[in-house]
Amino acid sequence: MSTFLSQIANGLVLGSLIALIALGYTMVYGIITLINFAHGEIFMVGAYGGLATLTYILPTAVATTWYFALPIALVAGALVAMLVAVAMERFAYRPLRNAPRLAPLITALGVSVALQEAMRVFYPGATAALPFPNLFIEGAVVIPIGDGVVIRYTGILLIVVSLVLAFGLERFVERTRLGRAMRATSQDRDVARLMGIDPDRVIVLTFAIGGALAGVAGVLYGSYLRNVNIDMGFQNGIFAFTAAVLGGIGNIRGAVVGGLVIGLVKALGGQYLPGGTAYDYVWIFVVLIVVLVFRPQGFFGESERVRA
Amino acid sequence: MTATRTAPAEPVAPAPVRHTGRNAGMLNALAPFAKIGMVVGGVLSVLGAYLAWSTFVLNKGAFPERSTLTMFVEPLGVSGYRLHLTVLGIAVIVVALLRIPARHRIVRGLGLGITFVALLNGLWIIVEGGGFGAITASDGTVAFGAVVALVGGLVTVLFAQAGGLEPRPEWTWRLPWWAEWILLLVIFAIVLLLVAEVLTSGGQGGVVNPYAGVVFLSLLAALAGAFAALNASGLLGWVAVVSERHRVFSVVVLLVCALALPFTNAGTEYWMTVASNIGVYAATAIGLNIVVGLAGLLDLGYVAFLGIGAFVAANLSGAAASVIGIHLPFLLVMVISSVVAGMFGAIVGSPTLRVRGDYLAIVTLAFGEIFVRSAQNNIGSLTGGANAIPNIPQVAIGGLAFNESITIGAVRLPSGVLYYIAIVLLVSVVMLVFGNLKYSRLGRAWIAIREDEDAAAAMGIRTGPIKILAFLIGAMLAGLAGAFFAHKTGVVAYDSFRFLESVTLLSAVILGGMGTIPGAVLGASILFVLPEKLREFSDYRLLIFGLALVLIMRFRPQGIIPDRHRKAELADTDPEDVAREGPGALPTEVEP
Amino acid sequence: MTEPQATSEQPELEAPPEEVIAELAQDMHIATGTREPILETVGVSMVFGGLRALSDVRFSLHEREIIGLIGPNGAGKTTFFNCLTGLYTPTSGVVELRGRPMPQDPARVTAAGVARTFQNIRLFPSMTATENVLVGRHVRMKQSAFSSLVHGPQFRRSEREARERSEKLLEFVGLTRFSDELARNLPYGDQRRLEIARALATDPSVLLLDEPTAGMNAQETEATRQLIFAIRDLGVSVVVIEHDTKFIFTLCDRVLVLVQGELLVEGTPDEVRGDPRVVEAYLGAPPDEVEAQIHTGADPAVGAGEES
Repeated sequence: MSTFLSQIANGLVLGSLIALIALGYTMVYGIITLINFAHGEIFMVGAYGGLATLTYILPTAVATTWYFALPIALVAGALVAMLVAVAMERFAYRPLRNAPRLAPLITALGVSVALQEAMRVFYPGATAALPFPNLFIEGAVVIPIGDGVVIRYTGILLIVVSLVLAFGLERFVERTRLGRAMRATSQDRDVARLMGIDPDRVIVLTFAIGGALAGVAGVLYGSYLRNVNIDMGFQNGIFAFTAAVLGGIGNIRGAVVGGLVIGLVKALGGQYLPGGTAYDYVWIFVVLIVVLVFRPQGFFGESERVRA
Repeated sequence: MTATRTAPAEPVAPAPVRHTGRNAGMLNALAPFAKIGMVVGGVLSVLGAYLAWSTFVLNKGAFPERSTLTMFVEPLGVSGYRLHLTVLGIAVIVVALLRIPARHRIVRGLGLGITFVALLNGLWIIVEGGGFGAITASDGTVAFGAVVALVGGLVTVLFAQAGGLEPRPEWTWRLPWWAEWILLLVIFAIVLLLVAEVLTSGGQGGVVNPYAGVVFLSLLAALAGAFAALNASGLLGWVAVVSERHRVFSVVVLLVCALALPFTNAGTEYWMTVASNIGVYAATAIGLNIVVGLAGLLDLGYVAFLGIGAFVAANLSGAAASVIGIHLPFLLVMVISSVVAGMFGAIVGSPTLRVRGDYLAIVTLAFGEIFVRSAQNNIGSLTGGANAIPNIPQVAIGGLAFNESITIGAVRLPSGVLYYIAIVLLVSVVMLVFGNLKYSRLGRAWIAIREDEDAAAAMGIRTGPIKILAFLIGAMLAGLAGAFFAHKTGVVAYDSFRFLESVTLLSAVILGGMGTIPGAVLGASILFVLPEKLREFSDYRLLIFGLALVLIMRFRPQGIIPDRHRKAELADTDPEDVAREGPGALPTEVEP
Repeated sequence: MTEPQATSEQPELEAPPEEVIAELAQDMHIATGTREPILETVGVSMVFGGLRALSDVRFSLHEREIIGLIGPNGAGKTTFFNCLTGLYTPTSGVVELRGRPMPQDPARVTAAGVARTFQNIRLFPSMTATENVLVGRHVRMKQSAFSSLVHGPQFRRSEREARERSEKLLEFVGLTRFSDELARNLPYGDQRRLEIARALATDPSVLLLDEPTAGMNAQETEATRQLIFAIRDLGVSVVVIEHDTKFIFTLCDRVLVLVQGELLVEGTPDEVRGDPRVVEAYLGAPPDEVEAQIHTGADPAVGAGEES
């Protein structure tokens, strides 16, 4: 029983992380119908950005005090990720806005590879996994069931931050002027332009927000798992994309729910399904395939309307 | 489509060129001086070739290059950049002065070649010398050759552009058939020798020879410039037409030339291995070209079929690690590998019939990843997991193992030549299959599905089975290549079939030109020769690769050898060609 | 790409020559001389969600008939068309082709002998005119996958036959000079004719034309009229949706008027023209005025009126 609950806990932590990344995928797809393959790499870059700040910029005393280090690292990670995301949109995707679908997809692949390699080549020591400090209080909550269900404080932090950010994003999109502009642009870009909305700026904003969220996720990931490596973007990116599709691409709540589901699938699948942890993400791929084949609009998406 | 002119009509006084678009003002101002400008550029290039290029002596490695003039040091490809610059520069002057049709376009091609040769070598010297001083002045030595040549190149290109790029001429000369045959023979033989030269230029890359990369690139740049010039003159187009006229003969000659490669100076064991690898990936790329290029089904997990073919072959060929302890004859193994891979192709294709575009890419990616993970975990003990399946026996026919060297008369052919011959034949077969399919009812159906799936269905095309067929046939070809791969490399590991390999394959197809036969081969060649030659950059290889993908999609998405359809789909209209393009693309909204 | 193509020539405005029609009719071998209705619908209704798009529509098409389908925007014409082509399954009622239920798969509908063109032309843009027509031959060509692979005698024979037929069809619609031209480069009017040629390549018993004269001037419209008569001479029965009522009245044997999903009137052009309900449905204006307009051939859709 305690194993089960532990895995639930693990799954929720991982899931919140995935949800944060998924938000970026879902928003970008909603607004320019592009699967930003390189979004996982933005997550990775954010993590490394946070790490670099902690290692090279902050004086040691500050870097080791969690209530300074944590917010600074989060902000740094978010900023770096945001910059990369915006640059990506500006230089790689925008020129291809009207090209046939293949071109931006391949470009995204290229950007993904380039980013990963750039980090490997230029960041000192990045050829192997790098240690990442825990940016929160050490220790855990132990629930007295069975052998005890352990939930680390950092994990709780992760879940809380993710939910808060997701909630904030939803309020932003639903209630603010800019948020409305985003929704309008994603529904009909030309009409939005007629309404006086500049689609280019809205798209930049979308990438920026998605990037920032991914950057925060990256720093938290590092903090929780205690290390970062250049591969983390690819795998978690696919998980996040699966989550976005599962929840209904373009749908914010869907992305969060999808993320949590995927996290649980990974944790529980790895524990209970044949093959163990070695196959845990095979199960996620299976979920992805099943969703895309049978219900591509996801849980919260709308079916393709049959037009009269 | 026929050209009606035997020689393009040249107005008595050239009509004044009017430029539009970016830089129009500058170009229009320079236009009257185009001829002089081009000549000046050519002169500067030749001059630059004769000046000193570095202020220090580059004396490392097998091919010492000093700052003094050395023109004809063996092998020509090495210090040849001076030779190349001289030749290109003189060509520029000659063409600029003579009234050759399309001379501005030709000169621009030459100029680009000059520019890149100067740039590459200059940059290398800067890096080696630790700064710009290396190519200008330092320690009392003056060496402006690089700068002069570079300026020459740029000037040439600028004035050629200003002079107005003519449309590419189409020549309709016809010679007697035997003359055309001889011509084709000679041309293909020259191509063969050039290929051998390119492959071996600078020697093998690596620690021993740090120059290999830049020498190779420089030669490539010079050849590219010459190639562009020939293309611009319409001569290449004419040769293509001639070879179309004598299709069967051309194919036979090309095949013979390919098989003759081991007799040239590229006939070493090393190059046989590289060529064999290129062949495997070329065959796979052509298979992918069916799925992506013809049917438009974006498959990001395609390398898994190569892997399936390889693992099947590995298990059926008597390798010690195989749990299926049988050793079947090679041809039978190839057939079985192909069939099994094809089955998996159908398995992947079937559920994905309703999935389109980006989503299809992701689904196939997922299948590919499932394959890799399963292989990594040694599923069914068939893949050896982290240990792979090593020591796969060599193919042997009549007791002659394929990896041995054979001697014909007085000529000793390198080891692995039999594998090379086998792969050339395999690639030829695959090319034949692709070509036949493309110009058939099935191929047209694929292209129709790619262009407008719903309209295709409205035309009576049963899209489901036909899409599965694309996956099936594509996978079968990959399976064939995989079987070969298993034997040639002797070891099959899950690591060779990761997502990155799929991306590379897709890039080969795109770079070479989707939907064309030579395109896939060219793409595979580039992607496998370049890393070999540019070993000193191997650390940056993937980074450059990623950036290259971005740049290609931005500037030339239709690839090097574009298929007519794809060019129409993907290429932006060249402003020079605007008058000849009709109204824009048809609307493609979804019909209610 | 070589010479500049003929972009500004006049479209060939003559009807196809007699011999061409006769030869093609013989090759296509469509008409069977039957008196039974070829295409028939009984009580067809279509409901989308809460919207009733079609109510109890009755329709029958006999061999060598040309039937016109008119009605104000939103009347359900295209919806009805889609039912006729098997794209939609009617909520109630039957659609029968030669007494048998209409297949529901577009490919099988075409194989059964019902072809259509699209309102917003759906040619294969980067295929030549000939290749477009060849795709139309797909369903009638006998060339197996194996034969496609091997290019044996069956391949050569079927290719030759297909190309011969394509040539004749292009000649029939007057597009021979564009045989090797990319479809997307063709002038608009010629694109429509190409689409018709492609549809005819499927050897249809019934050809459904969706607004074939949209965007055409008077000359082109007249040429289209002649072409449709020639199509009838091939033995093909035609159903046309149109807004240009003058065109319909001078072309069709019978006219159906759909208003708000219901069949308002059915009859000969004269009967329909004189029916005051039609006038009122279209325009809501005093019958006399509008009748005058209809008789002089002005487009009744222009002018004040309620559209449903």
